[in-house]
This record gives sequence, structure tokens and C-alpha cells, in this order.
Amino acid sequence: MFRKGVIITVLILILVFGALTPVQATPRIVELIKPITDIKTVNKNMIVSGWAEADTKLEIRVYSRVAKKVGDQEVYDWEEYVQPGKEAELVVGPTGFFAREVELKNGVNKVVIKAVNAEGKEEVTEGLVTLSSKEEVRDAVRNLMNFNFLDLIKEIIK
Amino acid sequence: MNKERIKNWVLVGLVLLSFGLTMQLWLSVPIERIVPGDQAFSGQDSEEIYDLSSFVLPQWMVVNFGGQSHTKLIKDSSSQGFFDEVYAGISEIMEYIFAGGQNITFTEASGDEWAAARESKSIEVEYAWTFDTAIFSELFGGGANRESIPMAGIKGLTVTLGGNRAVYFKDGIRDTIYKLELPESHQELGRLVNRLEEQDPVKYWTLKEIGYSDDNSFYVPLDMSSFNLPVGTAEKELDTSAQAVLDAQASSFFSDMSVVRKITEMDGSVIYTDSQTALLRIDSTGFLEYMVYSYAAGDKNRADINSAIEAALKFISVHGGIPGQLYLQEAREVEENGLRGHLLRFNYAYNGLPFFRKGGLKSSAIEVTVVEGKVVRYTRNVHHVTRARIVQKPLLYPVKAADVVAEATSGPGGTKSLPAIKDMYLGYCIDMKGAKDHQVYPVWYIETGEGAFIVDAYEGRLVE
Repeated sequence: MFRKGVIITVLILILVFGALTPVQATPRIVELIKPITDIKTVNKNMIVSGWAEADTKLEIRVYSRVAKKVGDQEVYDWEEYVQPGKEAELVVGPTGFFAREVELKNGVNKVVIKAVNAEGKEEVTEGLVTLSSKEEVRDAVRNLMNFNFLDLIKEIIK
Repeated sequence: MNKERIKNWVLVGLVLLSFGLTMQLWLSVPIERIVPGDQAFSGQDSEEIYDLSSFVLPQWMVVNFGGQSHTKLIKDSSSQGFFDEVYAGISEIMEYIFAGGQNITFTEASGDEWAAARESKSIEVEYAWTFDTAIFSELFGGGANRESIPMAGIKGLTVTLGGNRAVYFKDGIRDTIYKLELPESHQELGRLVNRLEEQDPVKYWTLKEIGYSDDNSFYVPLDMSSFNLPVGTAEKELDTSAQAVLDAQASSFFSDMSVVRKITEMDGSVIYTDSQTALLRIDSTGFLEYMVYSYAAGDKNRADINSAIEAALKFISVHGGIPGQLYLQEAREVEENGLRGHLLRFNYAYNGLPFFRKGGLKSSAIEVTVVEGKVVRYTRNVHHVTRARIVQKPLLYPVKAADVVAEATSGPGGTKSLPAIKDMYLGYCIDMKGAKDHQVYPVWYIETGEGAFIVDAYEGRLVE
């Protein structure tokens, strides 16, 4: 009886401490300074910067979402937005810091960072960035200002 | 009768010609020096009439479109039109402050308030040096002394263009930000900024925005394909192999050349001195140095900074001429032989970018020390670009240039730490190696806590 209690206590302790102990995450090849996931911006140009080991090869590409007609249906696909005059590839220098400016297209963009370190290990980081024009944001704010919450509540009560 | 008249004219011509030839025989100064026209300095664009506003110019202006969207304006061929138009608007605001008859009240602004102003739609103006406010009073207010202006020296200013209509002055001497509310917004400047934004200019970023460091005092571009900076060759303005040219140059410094001794040193330098008042030395690289022995005969009423600048510009104009794109880089008070004076350093630009000399990074193209209205020291080392060609490759990214500095400062092997950059901008370097045709190429100028560096912006090598 007593032995069973000890075993249960030990198991519970193992479970509790196991949950509290932080999982040793695999170190990433690229550590971005600002995450690139789900960003909404009005700036056509965006900075992708961060840290990686020296000699890591990076490829930073931007894809824009385009609508295509397949039969009667409209489907979305990604099309690379080749950055005018800018090279997609770069090799991280001895300080480990890198920074690149990428240009976005109006609408939804996918920024993809492919990294290959000196040992040949590959890592891909991607994120969606939505570029809106200042007018679109202005209209959205105006609509929000005009929105009457009282009417909405009345509607719900009805 | 007609024959006689022709003979008379021929005789007059011959007499005049004999005068000219006799003068050339007896004077060590060539006739082309005496007859005005082409000067001994090749390629100079000297002007007798000069305007202070041509020399006290911003090092750069940054247009903030709001948020993290900025562009930098320099006086180059691509953005000169906008530079001039924006600066004209800024000058109008400065005239309102320095010359206007209205009562103006400045308040001290916090760093946060100033930072907010820079993040809003605004224009930042930055000077190469914290210039004495008296210079701006002269420039924009005709010398009027307005007691309500609290700044001792101005390093830069920010004009906001949105709802908050204000000008923020950065006083580099007192390390304080002063704010002045403007009665109305400058609509023309607002329109200009909108027009510029529509043209989608090259974006510039602070190191903080890039994530490099916390510094947000200056801006760098990251789209290097937008730059099309040529490389070229330059030649020194003084042909030091031609003794007649050097003699002619010396004659502009000494009123009586008959008492001037000329000494040629082993290294090829030539010294001219009258043993009484002054010494002039010109070395084989074309570097010219003039010093006076006596500081007497100065005018005590002309000991102020504006008189010093005026005296310096007149002196430069007469002694070698004013090179194109010359600007005042530094103006500091100095003490010479117990007397208060001013050291004025001038540099010049090529396509809006400042020149650096390899081996003389800390020296300026022209330096003038003025004591009580009298020039007591003058140095000059000016080159003229003679040929330029376009290079079909992008410029080095600023982060790559920082890598070059990191490698140079921490030696080979191991991970390098990021250099703490205090300032960084593009310029041109003249490699003064060789007697003629010196190489001229674009460089990154990088100022760190450890010193200043220049990196070849095409080849990615540390120049100095």
C-alpha cells in the first residue's frame, strides 16, 4: 500500500517537473529580428534582418497571391515577385548579421527565407505579409468610425 | 595717306608686342598670370561673387513620409531638383524665425517628443557640424540678433508637416532640443513631400529599424541597385612639375616677389618665403600650405565667426579659386598666439557626395585659420575629376561594409562582433598614389567608437 503511494508520488513529481522543464529546442539556423508572420503594412518596402552563423547561404524571395481561373472556379496561386535589381541570394558575413529590403505587391505576399548553413542543413521560414494602400486603411478606419454599435446591439436584442 | 595709317597701326601693334615680350623676359611670372583669363589652376571654377548660402548647406535632408518610410535627399544629379525645392521651403521657415518681426517663443522639447516628430510626416535637416547660431542669423536674418532664439549652435532641425506644425532644433552645444510652434503649416512643403512619395524614391532606414543597433540618428539605404555611381580619375589642380605654375601661384601670396626666396627641398617640395611675413610650401602631391609669421595688423572688430567666414572665402577665391560644390564642413573657435580665431574647414563634393583623401582622412580639402579678420594659415589640396565611367555592378550593402570593418578591427578567424556605428554614408575617395591620374571611387564612410574607416563601395576592401 505504502509502496504504491511512493510510486504514484514519484510519477506525479516526474510529470510535474517534466512539464515545467523547458524543452530544449533545436537551435534555428536563422533568428529573425522581427517575425514575418501575419503582418499588415502600408509600407511597400519591408526589412528582413536577423542573425545566422557566418557563411550561411540565404535566399529571400517574395511571392504574391494571384487569382487564376481553373474551369469555372477561381483559385489562388503564388507567383514569385522578382525584386527589380535585387539579388535574392546572400551569404552571411563574419558578424552573423544580415539585412535585406524586400518589395511587396499590393495584397497578400508570402515571404520565404531559405537558409542553408555551412554543414548543409536547410531551414525554410515563411510568413504572410499583407500590403494595403494608405487609402484602403483610411477607408477601413472611416467605416469603423461610422459603425454604430448601438444599432448592432438593438439588432441583436430584436 | 592710307598707307601711312596702316604703317602707324602696325607700329603701335609692334610696340605693344614688345612690351608684352619684355615683361615675359624680365618677370618670373608668366604673362598669362598677369592677363586675366585662364588661371594657373586647371579646371577651377572660381567666382568673385559668392553667397554664404552656397557654402553653409545641409549635409543631408531626410523626408519622413510617416512611420518607417524615409528617403534621403542629397545634392546629387538624381535628387537635386527636390533637394533645392525642399531646401527653399526650409529656408522660408528659417527666414521667418531669424528675420521675421513676429514674437516667437521657443520651449524645450523632450527626446520622446522629438522622436515622435521624426516618426510623423516631417523633414529632417542635418548639418555636418554644429554651426554657431550667428551663422544662421547671418544666412537667414541678415545678421539680425533675435534674443528670443535660445540655440547656441544648430546641428539640425526637424519640421513637422502634419497636424502638429512645429520646428524642432537640435542644439549640439547645449545638447538640447528646442521647439517652436509655427502659426501655419507649410503647404508647399507638404505638397512636395506628397509628390516625392508618389515617385517611390529609394528608402532609407535607421540602424534601429534594421535591427542592427538602437541608433536612430542617421539613415542608410538597403536597395543598392538604385545607385549608379561612376568611378573615375582625377588630377591635382596644381601641376607641380611646372615651375612656372608654382611661381605664378606663389605670386598671388606675396605682394613683392623680388624679395621672395625659393627653396627646393630633397623631396621635391618648394618653399617660398620673404623671411618677414609669410611662408608658402607646395609639395609634390600638390598640397599647398601658407603660414604668416606675424599675426599683427588684424582688425579686432572682425573677430566674429561671420567675418572669419567672409575673410576665408575671399582668400580662397583669390588664392586658387573656389572649387565646385565647396561647402563649409566645420567651423570652430581656436586660440592662436593668445588671440581668438576661427578654424574653418571646407570640403567639396562630387555628384553630391563628399570627397575623402586616402592617407588624409582627417584633413579637409581646404582649411583656413582666421584671426581678427586676417588669414594666418591656409592649406589646400584639391583635385578635379577628369574622367568618369559607369560600373555595371551594385554597390556594397551597408551591412557588408560593416562586416569589412569588423574583420579589419578584430583580425582573422572567429566570430566578429558588430562595430558600434555612429555614422555611415556614401562618399568618394581619391587615391593619391602616383603622379597623375589618381583613382576616384565611391566609398562607405563608417564612423565607429574605434575611429573612422572607409570601405571601397564596389570592391568591398578596407581603404583606410
